[in-house]
Amino acid sequence: MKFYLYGFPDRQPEICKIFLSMKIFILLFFLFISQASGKIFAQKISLSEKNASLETVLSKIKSQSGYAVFFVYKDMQKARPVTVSLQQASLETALQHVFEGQPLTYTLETRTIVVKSKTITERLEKPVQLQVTGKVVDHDGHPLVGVSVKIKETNQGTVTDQQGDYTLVLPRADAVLVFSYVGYETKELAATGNTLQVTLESVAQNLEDVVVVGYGVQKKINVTGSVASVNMADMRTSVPNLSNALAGKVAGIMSVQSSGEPGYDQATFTIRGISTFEGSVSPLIIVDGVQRDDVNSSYGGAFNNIDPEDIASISLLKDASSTAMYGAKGANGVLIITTKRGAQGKPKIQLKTETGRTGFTKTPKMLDGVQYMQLLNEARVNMGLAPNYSEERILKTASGLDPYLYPDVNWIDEVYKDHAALTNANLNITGGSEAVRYYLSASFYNQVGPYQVENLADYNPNLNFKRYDFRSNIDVNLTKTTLLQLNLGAMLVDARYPGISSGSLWYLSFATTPVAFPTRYPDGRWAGPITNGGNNPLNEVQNDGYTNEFRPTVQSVFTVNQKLDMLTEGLSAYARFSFDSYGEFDNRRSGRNDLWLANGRDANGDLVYTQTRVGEQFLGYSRTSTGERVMYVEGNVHYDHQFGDHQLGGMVLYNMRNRLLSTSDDVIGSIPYRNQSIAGRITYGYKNTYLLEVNAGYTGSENFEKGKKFGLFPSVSGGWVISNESFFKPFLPTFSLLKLRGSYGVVGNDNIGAGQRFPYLTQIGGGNSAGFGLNGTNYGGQTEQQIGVQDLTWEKSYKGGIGLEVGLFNKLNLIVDGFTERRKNILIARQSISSIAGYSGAFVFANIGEMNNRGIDASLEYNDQLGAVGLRLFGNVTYSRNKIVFNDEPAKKYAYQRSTGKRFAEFTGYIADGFFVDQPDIDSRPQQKFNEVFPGDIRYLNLNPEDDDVIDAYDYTYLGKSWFPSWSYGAGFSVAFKHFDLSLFFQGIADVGLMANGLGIDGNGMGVNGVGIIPFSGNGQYPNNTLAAVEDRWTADNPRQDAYYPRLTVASTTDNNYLESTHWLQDGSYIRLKQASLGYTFTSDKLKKIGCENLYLYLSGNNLLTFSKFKLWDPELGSNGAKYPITRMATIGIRAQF
Amino acid sequence: MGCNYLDKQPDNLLTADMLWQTRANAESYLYQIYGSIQLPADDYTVLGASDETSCSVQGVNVRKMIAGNWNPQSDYWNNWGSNYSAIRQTFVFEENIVKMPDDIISQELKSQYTAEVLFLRGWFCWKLLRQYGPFVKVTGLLSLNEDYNRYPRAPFDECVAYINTLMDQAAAGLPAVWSSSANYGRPTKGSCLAVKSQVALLAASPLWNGNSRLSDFNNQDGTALVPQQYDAQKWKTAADAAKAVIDLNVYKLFTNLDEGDATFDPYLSYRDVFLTNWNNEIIFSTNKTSDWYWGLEKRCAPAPGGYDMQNATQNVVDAFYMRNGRDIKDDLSGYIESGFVQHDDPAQWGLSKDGINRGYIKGNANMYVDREARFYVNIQYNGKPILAAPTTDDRNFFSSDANRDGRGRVEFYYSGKSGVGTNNNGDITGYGVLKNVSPASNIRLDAVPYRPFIHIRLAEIYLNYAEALNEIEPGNPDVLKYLNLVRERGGIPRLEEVYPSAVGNQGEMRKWILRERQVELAFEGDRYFTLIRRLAMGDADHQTIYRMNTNANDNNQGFSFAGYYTRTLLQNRYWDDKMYLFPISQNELDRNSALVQNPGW
Repeated sequence: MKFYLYGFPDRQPEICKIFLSMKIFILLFFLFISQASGKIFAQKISLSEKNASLETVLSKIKSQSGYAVFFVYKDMQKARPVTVSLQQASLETALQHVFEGQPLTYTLETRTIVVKSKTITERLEKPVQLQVTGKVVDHDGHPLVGVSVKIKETNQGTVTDQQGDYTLVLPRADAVLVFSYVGYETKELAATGNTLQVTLESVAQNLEDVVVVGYGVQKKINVTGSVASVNMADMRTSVPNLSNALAGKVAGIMSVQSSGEPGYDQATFTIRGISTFEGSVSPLIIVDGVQRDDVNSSYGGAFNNIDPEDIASISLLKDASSTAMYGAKGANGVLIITTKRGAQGKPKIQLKTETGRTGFTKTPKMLDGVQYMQLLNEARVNMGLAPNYSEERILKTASGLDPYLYPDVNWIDEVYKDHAALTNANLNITGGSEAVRYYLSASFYNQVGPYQVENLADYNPNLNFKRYDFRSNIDVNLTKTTLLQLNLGAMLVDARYPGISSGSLWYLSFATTPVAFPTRYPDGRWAGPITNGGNNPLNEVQNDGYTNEFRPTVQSVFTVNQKLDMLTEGLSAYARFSFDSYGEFDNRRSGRNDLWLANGRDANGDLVYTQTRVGEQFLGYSRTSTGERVMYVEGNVHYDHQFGDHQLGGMVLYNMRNRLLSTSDDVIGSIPYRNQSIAGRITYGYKNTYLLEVNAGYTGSENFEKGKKFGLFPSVSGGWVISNESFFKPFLPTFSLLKLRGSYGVVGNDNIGAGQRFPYLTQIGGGNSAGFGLNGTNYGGQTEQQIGVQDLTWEKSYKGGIGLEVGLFNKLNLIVDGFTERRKNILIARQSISSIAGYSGAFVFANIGEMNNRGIDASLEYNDQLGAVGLRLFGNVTYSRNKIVFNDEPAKKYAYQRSTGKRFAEFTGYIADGFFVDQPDIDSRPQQKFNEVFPGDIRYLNLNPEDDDVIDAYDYTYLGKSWFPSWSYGAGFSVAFKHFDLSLFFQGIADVGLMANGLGIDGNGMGVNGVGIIPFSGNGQYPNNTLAAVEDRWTADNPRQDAYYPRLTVASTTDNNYLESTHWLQDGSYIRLKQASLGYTFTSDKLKKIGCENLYLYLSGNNLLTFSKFKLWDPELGSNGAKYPITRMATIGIRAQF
Repeated sequence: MGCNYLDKQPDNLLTADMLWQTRANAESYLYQIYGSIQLPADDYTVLGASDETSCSVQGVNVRKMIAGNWNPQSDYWNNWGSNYSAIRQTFVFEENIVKMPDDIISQELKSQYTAEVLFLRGWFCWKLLRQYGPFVKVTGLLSLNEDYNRYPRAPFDECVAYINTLMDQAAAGLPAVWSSSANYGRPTKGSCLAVKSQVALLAASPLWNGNSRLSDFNNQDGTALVPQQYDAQKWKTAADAAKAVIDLNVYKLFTNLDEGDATFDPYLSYRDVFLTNWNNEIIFSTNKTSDWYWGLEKRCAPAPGGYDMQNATQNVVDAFYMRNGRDIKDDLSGYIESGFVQHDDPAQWGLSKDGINRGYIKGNANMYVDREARFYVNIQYNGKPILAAPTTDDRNFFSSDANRDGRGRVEFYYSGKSGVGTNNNGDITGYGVLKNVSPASNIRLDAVPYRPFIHIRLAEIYLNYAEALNEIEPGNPDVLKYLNLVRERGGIPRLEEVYPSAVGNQGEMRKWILRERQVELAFEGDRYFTLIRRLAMGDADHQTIYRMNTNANDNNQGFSFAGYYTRTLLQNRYWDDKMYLFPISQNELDRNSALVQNPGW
């Protein structure tokens, strides 16, 4: 039995037979439906549609009822989208719902539904003059100000006022209102009554309904993998660096920022923690469909410089199901960033500009001059040495009467300002016609450094980070089925840094003694010590010259999309080509000035100087430049179609990538990094309730030998939308969503550790050199840097996960995901080969490492409107705990010294047991073999008492904590009341350690390690300064067991008291007020007259408060406190729309 | 595009096979092996593990070592792996060089390089033997998948024999003298024989010859690793081995006459052995332009130009003879412990070349007056002008205001520029080391000229010979002859003229021979190994270290502060007999279950 649905010429309620071959019927819509013969049709209709076209809905009614449907194609164009949710309704009820507010009506004939236009019958029945009023709010219930409300197909319209209200006189009863607002989805609604309340979904919110997944988009409800989207409203921050802005914003991200220096402040950024102990832990970064994974490498990270204003959505692919198609690169998770695109309409301009100040979250406090001298004397006396500083000298310094001969300098205060300026602005324009749409954007970011320097010698050495972002995303509909897309993004960093690196400067600010020399002498001479006597940090930053760093990044993507419905419906394809260019060009001008040291005063009381350094007249010049380019080609065919209750989708793609380091230092680095892959996906859904998805990537990497280059990475996942089941109906009012999903699969990684490549080849490179002849001519040697090993293959990650999504009262959403990962075949350098084989010093790789990683991530969001107050609460948490399963380490004598079974980068050290009380205490305990101990020194536990009665290198063990946290979380709220809105966002990490014994503070050529923490360390003329925390110490007079510092000595990193131990292992957990903002929305007719639809003024702050048990420096810096701290910002800004 | 997209082999990459296709690449592999020869310029042997030096820097490994604070996990100077890496490379080179076509590299060069590489293999084995004792004898390339638990250590005598075999094979393919100076730095026949002399002397010495402490030193299967009986014949072997080098007749002790000077100057003769580009006393050296000599001079130089790091002990200072060839404890020596000299050194050593009198100067403590020339070459004492400072300005740089007279006298006293009163890291013994420091250097500007690093020189071979011969034939005139050759170059009288009773008296002669070694080879790393092989390191004399009283506050009296010149105990070092051998790293034991640890560790 066959039923036909035919379209009819306007106002011709007759049945005509139409033949496919007739050109006249191009105007007509033809739908052919076949059904099994003999089937008896139920009269009960179930529909669940959101913004579906009337045609679609009618075709569903037709298939469920067995009725034929007749309509005129032109009428259907007038139909507005249908949102309907019905279970087991009668046909009449269903049709009433569907046609509610439609400019169309219907009649039921014998097994036939005839659709016709209302205009003829009803328009005549009602008076033309009608008025409609209403309120337009956003997803969170906040009134939207300045929303354009237009009557469709007319020029009449208005905009919403400051309360989001509008009033409009309608020309006719069936008028359709078009609500449009930049950043929000445009809505068309028929004005059926006197009031019409409208909720506009922001584009980002909208993308929650349709989620960006690997190589495509999926309806959120149909997603079976673990995919999280970032709420872009939370990304409105003045932080220039995207990876830092993401911390705590979405479940699954764990990020640790370890420097605040502008341009070099990108974080260690992971998805679901760390699963490998060799090679890269960074996720794959996809920007506009193209791999751009240079997150943590040079050029400031390819994606970190994208202005968040330009981003439409950020998706996080966390499990094997969502990442398997990335095969080679997906093991660490995938971050997909999609930039904004144009929308049809008049040009809409959005302007954001803000300015503010940046400062440090926490500045370490050092000893002042008097404390320094007294404590140094104490330390020397403790060691049986004579005091260095006489009482007279200390008194003279304390008096401050002669700051040139008896200086007392707080170097950190001298070098760093409390705050420095910050400005940024973004201007973007969207618009276009049906055929061409554009998104154009320009932004500027300018941050000035915190150094107390000035323009003294025709240059200002202060840090100045300037970034210019340009973006042009163009869409062109070449034909009805062909869409061209061109994305061009340029991110140009033009930064100036002082001649001394920020790390070295922090080192010096920590290290330099407060009493040796002043900053400058009264006649302007710069003070400085003799060689080996340290440096004057202020002089170094002021007079060492400067470096101009220009880092241009250009990213381009060209895509041709072709719908292939003519072949089979639901089929489409695209081809994509991308070319990225990255570069860095540094010009360095290095300076050296005269330095002087005053030794005393002459008879007249004038200072007597010695010149300690002879400067150079001109700044030196040197330059470096690096660059690379990445090319990417992809062809993609995908299919998505609904057959009754069955939804079937498929996708297959081919891609190639070629990354070339143009300025590589060696041959191996200069060989392009190539990858090639085929990937596919099949999705199947039944009644939107049972979902199944299979993904696979077959990817190749040049890193392996022929025959081993390719790996297959499959995954399978399924979902069950319980809330769509009929038995769930009684719970529906409470549970708006209940969905269960699970996945399992394999993902790969070809990025082996230590920057090594081609591990199957024995590689020869520079080794030790030899010298011969009378004058010792050197001859460069070559040796095996890497011993080739056969049969190497991919690192494979076996990932499983289950997820639960719950929606309550349409207000609260909870997503909980549990995951487990077993990383196998980790390519590690062999450690267990006996040295007698002679391979030490060369890399020997093997696929034998194994690591586990398990955890949970969850997010919660609550939205409500309580009277005039709009409220949004949100939070997320990620827990991940890894364990090294196999590491090829030599079988250690003591199990507690094995890294196997421990977590990634777990701290090792001794177990401290308080301070020695007195000599009998020392005598009664095992001898500590590091150096002679005295009362007040740290006691350690003997871990192998069965073998010896001494504390030595056999007594260190793993201490349970790592610098990488197990917990990462973020939570916040926003409230809107009338014109005000306020939001606060907290972020934190927990179960994380930092080893504050100074070993993390690397001398890096500036001096000894551990400066600032290890008291008075350093071999130079002046012992280093020390943190003021050293006041809290054990002394013979006050032998406190709870003192922070042990007995003072002039110490070094290898002293008994400063070994890595539980004494110095500090809790690095923190919570900080990461973002806070207070805003006010202005609306007035005056503004509207000048074309400004909306003006928003706000105050915002970043990292305003930090709560941590660790007080000495910002705990996020980790074990090294002597570096550029995390910054805090306070800004005032304005957003306007025209 | 397509299937072979990824097959773009890194063909421009030098792989193991390609290494042996050009002469330059093959030679570069050999150079790498040469580069694995360690210059012990910064290790325990020179920085304070023996009684001649102490390191002023706290926390350095050598200070932990002498405090007994080390174990197999400490991995101090873990040279086990690096020597074996170099040994593996010698096998790779030896196997491949012969396969190269003659038109790329001549047969002659191939056999020369093979001989060199055999010498190098023997050299690395010798370094293992000296530091760790019996080693695992590896005689070919081992694969990655080898069962390393099957490789135990070889008995001591087998190790010695292996090194000797390699040295004999190498000597057969090497010339006695390189005809082209471009080859200086490569081993010669003499280099091979000299290593044999060193090995034989070690094998004959009490550490390995009848050492009852090592009688239970066995492999797990019971194989004894140490010869159980004393064998006097080993001294004969050692004497013969040293004599074999002497009999080559290609080496001679260097003097300043070799540099064209008219009159013999013991100071210059001895000092410039180390500072010439090349001389005939050198038996094996590393001729590499590198920064070892900068490091050495920086470490030795006093503050503020240098680090004051390697401090000579009073023990070694006292070992130097008086100019009359007598021990300072000898009543006839003329040594005066107290007071200050009122005139400059009449000998005027060094004046002819440097324009500066390098002996003592007016105002020096009497302790430093009339000492032998080698004392002034080796020891930087309080008030002695600094050497590595060529101009008046440079020298003034090292002086306090009161002493700024253009002479740059070093200030080790409490409040001096290098004193402990003003430096956390000031000189702790009151002495610095001057050997191998060049007057052409300017350490303030870190400018230091090139010189080869001498591993073996003739004076050592003479002393090896005298020592070994004295043990078997104390009456042999060669004992005195070769000892005296060394003394005479040092500018002191022959031994029999000063201490005639020593002649033919084995015990006394042994004392003077070892003293001569201590003085002549001071700060060259020999002292540590001599005390070790002689089982003398544990003696209280060598563990009780003295210094000047650098901690006494001079109250700004400076050089004339008499309280400074008081012998003061620096430290009683820790000693355990297990320290006669280095521990093998615990990591190595964990990787190879057949490996037994050295006794006591």
